[in-house]
Amino acid sequence: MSTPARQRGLLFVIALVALFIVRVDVWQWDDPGRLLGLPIGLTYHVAFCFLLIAFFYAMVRWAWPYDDKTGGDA
Amino acid sequence: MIIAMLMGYLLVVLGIGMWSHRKLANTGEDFFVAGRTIGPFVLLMSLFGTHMTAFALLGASGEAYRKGIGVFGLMASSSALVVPALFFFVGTRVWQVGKTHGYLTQIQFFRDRWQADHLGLLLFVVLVGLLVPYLLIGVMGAGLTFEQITGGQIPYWVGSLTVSVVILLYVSSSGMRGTAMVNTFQTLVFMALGGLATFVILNKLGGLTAVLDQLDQNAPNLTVRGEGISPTLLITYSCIPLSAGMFPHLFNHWLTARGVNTFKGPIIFYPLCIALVWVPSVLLGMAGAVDFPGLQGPAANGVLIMMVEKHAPGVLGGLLAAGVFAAIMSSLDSQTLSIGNMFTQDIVRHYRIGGEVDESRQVWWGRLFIVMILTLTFLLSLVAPRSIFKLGIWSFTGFAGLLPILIAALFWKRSTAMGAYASVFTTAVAWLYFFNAGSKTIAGTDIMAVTVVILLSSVAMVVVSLFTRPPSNIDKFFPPG
Repeated sequence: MSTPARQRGLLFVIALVALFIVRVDVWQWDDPGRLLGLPIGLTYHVAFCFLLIAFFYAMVRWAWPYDDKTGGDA
Repeated sequence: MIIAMLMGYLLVVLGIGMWSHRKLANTGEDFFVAGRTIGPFVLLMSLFGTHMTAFALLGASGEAYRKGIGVFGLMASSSALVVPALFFFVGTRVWQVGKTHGYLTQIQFFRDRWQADHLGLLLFVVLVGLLVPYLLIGVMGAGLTFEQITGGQIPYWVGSLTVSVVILLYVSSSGMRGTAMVNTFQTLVFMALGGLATFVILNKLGGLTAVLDQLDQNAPNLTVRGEGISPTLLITYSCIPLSAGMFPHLFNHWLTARGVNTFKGPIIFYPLCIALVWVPSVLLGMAGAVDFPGLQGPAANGVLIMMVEKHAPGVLGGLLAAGVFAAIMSSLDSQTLSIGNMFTQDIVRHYRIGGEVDESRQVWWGRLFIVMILTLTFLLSLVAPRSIFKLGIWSFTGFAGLLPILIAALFWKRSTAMGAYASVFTTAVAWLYFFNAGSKTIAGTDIMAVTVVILLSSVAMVVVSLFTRPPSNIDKFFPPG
């Protein structure tokens, strides 16, 4: 893998760890409120799933470690 | 009505499986990994359908009945994060190594990677040992669900037998091609029907807002995480989905991809599939707490079926029953095929039992093992105690504990066979200790035992590898330059 690709890959690994941390939404653990018609804690985790779609799209777009044509290492 | 719809559904499944037989080439690679020709959509659907068992519908609604919204974060959003990451880092690399060296099973890779024949045999025993209870609870779950959904009209053993026979016919006939196509259909079925059931039942209960209002009054603990699920549990539970990296049946599906780029779609859209299946399950489970309060223990897992019987009998009941069976069978078929594959490749072919095993003989052996495995599983399902479900759940911890071996094999040049042995034994000892202790969390804490098992297994892999000699064939897997 080339150096810029390796750096981008590292950046996405750090972002993955950050996502792991923000998934644990302690600040609204006992909040009984609602958002978008659902309990806020559920809305948060559903929204998190949609955020993951965007994240993984960016990851395969910019940090894909394989050559698009040959399928070998980039 | 429900029985007629279930039988109709099983016939459709059988038809799709048998139809796929047309394209089957009589080779081991085609039978076990569909000739590595599967495209992105079918790969996504078959990976997701294989990974999600009936637990995603019945067990999840039962858990949500007991614990409320926290179940989604605990089990769904953790998988939405961890599993696609595994596909990205591990699945694509497995595919590349498998394609380059022609592997059809995990054991072939491990044997070759560390030039360790006995390690392969040990891992074979451990992986099959972990997978059999998982297979058994699928067959038992099918029988129990059949019995419950039909109000006892179809006894437990007939339900188990019917599902086993249907799977046997299409898996042994079409191998991975049929399995992947059937899984795609079944995944679409259980995703669509879960959503439909939620819509109809919530409407009958006065709408989502009315249900949540009643929960606020009668069971307010279900709309927050509260003390039922702690942040520590949420964090450490994330280790459970790591088991997906070592599942032999998911490994098999990874190898079916047409190319490495085929993984892109599944990686991106896996979290969407998770949300589509788990949100309805969690909402229905919580609605069940309003509709059928006071269910205790395993009875809560039947809350979804009870609600369907009450609010949507007839056609919807039949459709939802089909959805539950779709979830059960889409995992069972892949598990059966992967065990058949392992017996064929790692035992018969590796040890040349009965002489050289050519391509058509591989298919023959594969079919024989599929018949034997399903027959044995069905017979076991008639005598196994219900406590086997507990063992099935613990198999996740075992698979997760073995993941450091695969990571080391793929990414760490310096790893050794002795390190892998140490990792397997450490996992086995830690697993037995926690299994005997009878708690999924460390005593006095909310730390999941699986976290400690993975940690110990990783330490064993690293320390022992550093003190032993790596194999001489490293260049085969890590080309210089």
